[in-house]
Formats: sequence, C-alpha cells, structure tokens
Amino acid sequence: MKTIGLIINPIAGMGGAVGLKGTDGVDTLKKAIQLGAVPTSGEKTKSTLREILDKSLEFRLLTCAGTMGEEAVREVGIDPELIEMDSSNKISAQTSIDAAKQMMKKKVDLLLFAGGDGTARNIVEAVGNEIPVLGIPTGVKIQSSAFSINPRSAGRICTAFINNNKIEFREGEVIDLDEDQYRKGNISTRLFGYLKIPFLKEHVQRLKSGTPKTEKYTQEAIANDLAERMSDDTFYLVGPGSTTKALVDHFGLQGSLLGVDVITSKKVIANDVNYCQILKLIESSNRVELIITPIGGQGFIFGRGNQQFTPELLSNINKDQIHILSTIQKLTSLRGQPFLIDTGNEVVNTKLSGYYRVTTGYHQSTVYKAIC
Amino acid sequence: MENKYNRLRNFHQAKWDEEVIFQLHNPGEKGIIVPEVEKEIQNEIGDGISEIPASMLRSEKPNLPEVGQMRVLKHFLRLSQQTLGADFNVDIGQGTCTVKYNPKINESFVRNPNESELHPMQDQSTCQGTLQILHEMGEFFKEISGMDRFSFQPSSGSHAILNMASIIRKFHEVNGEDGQRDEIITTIFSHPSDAAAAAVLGYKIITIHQEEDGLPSAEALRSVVSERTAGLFITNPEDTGIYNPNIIEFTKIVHDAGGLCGYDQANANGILGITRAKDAGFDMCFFNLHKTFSGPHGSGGPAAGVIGVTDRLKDFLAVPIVGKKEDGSFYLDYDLPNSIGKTRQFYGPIPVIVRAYAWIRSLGAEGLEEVANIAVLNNNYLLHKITKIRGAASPFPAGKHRIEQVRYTWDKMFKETGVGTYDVTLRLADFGFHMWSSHHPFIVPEPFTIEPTESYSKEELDEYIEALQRISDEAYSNPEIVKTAPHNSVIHKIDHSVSDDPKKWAISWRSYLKKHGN
Repeated sequence: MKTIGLIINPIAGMGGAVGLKGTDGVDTLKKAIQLGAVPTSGEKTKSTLREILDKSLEFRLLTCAGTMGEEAVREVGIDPELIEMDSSNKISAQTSIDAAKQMMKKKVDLLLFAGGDGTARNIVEAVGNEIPVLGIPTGVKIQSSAFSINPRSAGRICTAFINNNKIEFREGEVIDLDEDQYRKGNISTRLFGYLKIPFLKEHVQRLKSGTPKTEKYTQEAIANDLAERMSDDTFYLVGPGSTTKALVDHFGLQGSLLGVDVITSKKVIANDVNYCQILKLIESSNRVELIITPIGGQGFIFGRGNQQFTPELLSNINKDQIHILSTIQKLTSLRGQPFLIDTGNEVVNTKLSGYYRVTTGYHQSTVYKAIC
Repeated sequence: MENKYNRLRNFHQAKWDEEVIFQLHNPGEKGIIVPEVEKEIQNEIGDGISEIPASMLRSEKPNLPEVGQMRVLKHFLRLSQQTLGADFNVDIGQGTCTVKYNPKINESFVRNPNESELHPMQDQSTCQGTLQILHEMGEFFKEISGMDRFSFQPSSGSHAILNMASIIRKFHEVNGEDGQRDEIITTIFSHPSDAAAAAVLGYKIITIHQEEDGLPSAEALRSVVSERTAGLFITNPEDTGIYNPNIIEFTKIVHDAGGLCGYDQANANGILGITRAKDAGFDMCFFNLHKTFSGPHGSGGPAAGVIGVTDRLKDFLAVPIVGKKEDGSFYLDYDLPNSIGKTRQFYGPIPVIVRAYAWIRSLGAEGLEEVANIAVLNNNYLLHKITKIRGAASPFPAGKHRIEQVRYTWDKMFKETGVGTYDVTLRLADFGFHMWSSHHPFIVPEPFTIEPTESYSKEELDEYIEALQRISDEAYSNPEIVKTAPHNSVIHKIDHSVSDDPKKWAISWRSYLKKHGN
C-alpha cells in the first residue's frame, strides 16, 4: 500500500487576498491578519483530498497535527496517521522543513504540500529531489513548476500515482521572488532547486505518434548536439538549470545546478560564479558565449533565476553568442507564449529580443521568439 | 435525457474469444491441398522443385500456422466484427487523415482480372491500358498542381517526403553544394513526417514555431535561412486547418537562400481546384491518393504518394515514369539523367492508382473543385457547432475561419471537470464513433482534430456533434460516466505502458513467444 504524505502551509495565500504579494515572514502574516485575511489553504486542500476519496483507493495518509493537515483531512472523513512534532512552536518556514524531513524518514511514496513558491522552497530544502513531491497551489506566488494546475488536478495525479497508472516524473523548478524587493516594485527571483514531480502522461495515439522521449534522453541528445558545435577557444558561461547541466555532465565534469559554470576547452574552470568573477574570467578570452535554458513555467530566458547574467554583462553579448537549450515539452508548456526577457535594462532587453534557434534534440532545433 | 439526444444510436461491439491465428495451428490441417503434378507433365518439365538452386531452397519449413480454409474465414470475419472501420462509423474524428468514402464501384476495376492478373515482368506491349492510366494520371496531376512531371513510385506520404528529400540532396550534389547544405526547415504544425523523413537522410531539422496568430512568420523563417539551407518542407493548410497566406513569401525566402521548396499536399482536400503548388512557388509536391483521392486507408497497407516536380527538377524524379510515343503507345522511361533511382519495386502501387483514377474520372475538373468547396463548408459548419459546446474551443487563434479541418481543444472542460480528450475518446466508442487527438507533442492542450471531408451529409455530422454535446453535458453533470467509459465496448481501458516497455512489446508472434513464453 502506498503512503501519501501531506503538509499544508495553513497561512499560504493569505497575503495575496489583501494585496501583500505573498505571506513570507512573521510581520507580513501579522499585517495580513490585521487586514482581514483568512486562511484558505486547508479549504483548497480538501478539494484535492475529495478527488482521491471519490475513487475509494487504498492508501495510508501521513500528515501533521492541526492546521498543517490533520484538520482538513478529518473534515473530509479520512483518519490520518500523524508525524510527531512539537505543536507548541509557532508555524513557520522551519515547521514545513522539519515536517518534510520527517516524512522522508518515514518513507512516504509521494509528498503532497499545499502552499506557494515559499513553501516549495522549504520543501526542496528539506528533501531535494529524493522523493516524488507534488504542490497543491494554494499560495499567492505560483511561479515554480512544481504545482498541479489546480487543487483538484493534484488529486487526480495523486489518484493515478496510487494506481500506478500513466505516471511519469519530471524535474520541476522551484523559483521564488524576494518579497521585500517585490513590494518595492523590483522583480528579483532565484532558482532554488528542482523537485521530482509526477505528472500524467499525455494520452497519445501510439500508431501515429511514437513514444515520446524521456526528459533525460532529450537532455542528453541536446548536449550531444551542442557539444559538436563548441570550439576550444571560446569561454562558455553555462547558466542554471538541469538541461544546461546535462551539457556539463556530458563532458564528465562537475557542474552546479543553480549557478553559472564556466567551461572552456571541455574543462570547467569555475563553478557557481557571480557577476564579478565572470567579468574577471572572460577578460582574457577572445570569445564568450552563453548557454542557457528558459527558467520557470513562464519562459523567462533572462531576468529570472539567472541574475548572474547582469545587464552590464549582457550589454556586451549579441544574440549569436547565446545558445538556448530546451526540451520540446518545456516549449510546449508555454502554450505558444514567447520567451520573456526582463533584465531591468530596456536597451539590453530590446537588443536580445527576436528569434532564437533553440536546440531541442540532436540535430533538431525550433525557431522561437523572445520578447520583452 | 435520452430524448434530448435522439440522433445517437445504440451500439454494442461484438466480442469473440478469438485466438491469434498462430494459436489455431493444428498440425496436418490444410487450407488448400495442391494436386500432384501429372506424370505426363513431370516427364516433360521435371518435378519443378529440383530446378531451384540448392542455395535458394529452404532447409526448414516456414513456421506458418496450419489451419483449414473455413476456420481461416471465420477467424478473420470475427476479427472484423471487433473493429470500427470507416464504413461503419461517421469517421470524421481522424483529422489530417482525410478519411472519406471509398466508392465501392472502384473495387470492380481493381479486382477485374485485367488488373489483378497483371504480372510486373510481362512485356510492356501487353499492359498498355495500365500504362495509359499512369500516364493520364500524370496529366491530371499536372493540371491539379501546376507541376511539370510526376512519378508514381512512392508508396506512402512519408515515402514521398523521402523522395523529395532525396531529390533535394541530388540537386545540391549536382550543383556541388551537397556537403554545405545540410538543413531542412519545416513548421511545427506541418505534418511531423516532413521532419522525420528528412531526418532519415541525415538532414538537420529546423522547426518554426507558430506565432500568436497560429501561423509561422516569414521573419522567423528569414532568421534561419542561410547557405546551409537545403530546403523547406511545409504543409498548407497546416494541421490546424489554417492556411498560411504568406506562402509565396516563404518560398521566395528559401529560393533566395539557394534552397528548394517541397509542398506536403498529402491532404489537399480543402484546396483542390482552388490553389496550385506551382503558383505558390514550390519546386515539388506530393499527394496521397489514399487521402484526398478516395483510396481506402490500408492501415499501413496499400497507399500512394504521387510526387511532382517543376521543369528544372524534371530529370531528378524516381524512375520509371511513363512516356508516350508519337504512335500513341506508352512505355516505361528509365532515362532520367539525374534520377534519384528506383525508390520502390516495379512501377508504383497500381491498385491504389486505379481507384483514384476512377474517382477523378467520375468527378471531372468541376467535381474536384466541388469536393474542396463542400469539404470546407462541412468543416466550418462543424466549427460553428462544436465551438458552441461547453468546454470545447478552437485555439491558435480562437474564432478564425479554417479550411478543411480544425484542431480543437477540451482544455477548458479538462480544467473544470477533469474530463479530457482521452476520456472523450473512450466515451465516443459507446456511440460507435472514433476521435483522434493530435500529433505529438500536444501544442494544443487536450486536442482533438476533426475533418469532415465532403463525404458526410449534414444528418451524419449532426449525429457526431450530438455525441460530443452529450459527452460535454455528462462531463459537467456526472463526469464519472465519461471517466469510466467505454461502457458498450468489449475492451475497456488499455494499458499503453506495455508499448513503452521493450521487455514486453512484441511486433511478431515469434518475438511474442520469446518475450512472454508459450
């Protein structure tokens, strides 16, 4: 029998309703409550649970006491098992982290969490991509691609997971805004890691469609294609993401998932560099090229998740020095919306807009537009 | 509730506990007992077998099932009852495939001994009628497309695309540019075989994604053409049913870069007699006779992708083509200096060509144009009706007029009820219908592609619409009915994961036994 873990961030979503653009931090929560915000996360989670209950499946449900799971679970008529936690502590980011760690120890088969990008950050910090995790979108900021479309569809995916039916896994990016900056009107986001997200395999008509390639296979194919085109006298700045990391892996090198790595002559000369280090490293080089992948479900290529590429650096880079790598699945998920650029500098944004030939497989590319 | 859907008919599929034919094997049972050769004949020509060189003789008997004639007949009739063929249902749910009526009278020409008993090795003077059909078909297609010469070698659409790619390679080779021009450009809503068949020849594939208006832009094309461009393969109208109005600009951009342009007209049902490949600037094109020209779809069986080229590529076609001598007789012409060679055994899929010939002759030029007009009218009638069904839409872009087919979406219904394309497909089987989603990847979410052609009457289209309407009503009122469908079919949910697992899939009886034991 499968064990499903459930962590509800009970305060998720409260800031949004009263215009606070998030609920991170104790002071913000206080302010939200003063403004009349009410908790909705547990209520939304119930529609996920009802979807599973309808199917009268056999599974164990492991959750946290009180508003972090137990209440919602009992209200829909499930008798949960509870993890041990010190309930006298106030609910905070650390509570979610501790709970997720415990769930992993107890070997849950799938961990459901209800919250937003902030909660996703806590979960990825606790469990990395060790166990399957699925986000129920109940928070204010949902930029990470770690969530189902809505709470009910999380229930449907969970049902399929319990049935061992039509499930595949993908890496889902966890990205989050710096809320303080955001409230001041500045967008500042970071990529915090990748969760292992189950998803329902698309129904395809086999005879006409063939088997879709797995994400890993496609990433390797992309890496092989670009490797053929790389030259030894160029400095390559490899941006964050698992698609770009597959290229570093291709050369048998150690890459960083979330940082910028510098490669030249098939060697990594620096990992996880910042803007100043990049400038220093490329001073000596004749040619610099960027290798990037769109970040997040919204298709940003610059300005989200890879701010190491500052407008100052990018002002010296032309479009033909930029290689964009992406799986077809990632492009498809944009539903026809162009790539987005938001570096904070209009001149740079405009210069880098236009069409890119995105590498999507071995000797396969797709022409895709970027706008600002 | 039933009265509201008075067009829908009850249907329940037959089910037989039917073995695979290999399991019917009964040693010693025979279908046909071949008579022994009479003594007199043996004396004259020997036993017939000892003449065969030893190197060509089998040392072991082939592993074929031994089954009596009557059991074979029953076996296949039972299987046929378990299928849902084009002659049973309103088969408009197979968009891009152009499934239309295959006039039964055309079978009589194909099954006539004058055709069916032809041997490919017999002297050309003894099969002038068939050569005449091939020649006249070439003339018809020159009119239809504006191209200057046709070959009937390819046996399918993808095979025709491979022929086009081979012509492109040969053309650049003759011009000394073969090594340099290694890229073929296509669009995301062109048929995926345009990319796949070109990749078989080693070409790098560049796919242009659609813009917000659902079409690929000329600017995007311009950004990738270069001295490395070998050619452009494009479907128009695209698989969404939208016609690219900038097509002349597209072919010009590619020509200016030194590439050639191939038009995928596998499905030409909406543009017969309306537009011509040559007028849009193409250097070559092909048509699937088993789609637009009413040949039955053989499910991987007999098909034909006739390919035509303009004057400058006349000598590059696959051989043989059929020529006409001054005395009016016809001959097989192998003398094309730059020919890509033979791409198939013998002369082309003759039965498919004969059916299509009969179809074209029965319609004439005016009739062909009427086919396109009615197909477009039918399609836009459906578009109008289906987009009124709750949860259904025609995106990229919404509301735009379509040519012969539409790629719709159930995205809204899926988000609101959890009922998506896959569920609808299964529920439709309860009404004796079929619906196809789309090619992979699903750019259009929860897709379904409907193409009514000219064959179906308004009554039949209304019956299909009613089925979609009913399923949408069910999705919003009692989704479980749809989620647990089909209810009247003999096979319910199929576990597709088997076809993803190399340890389990089997494409022959031999590999089945190897992987699954006896």
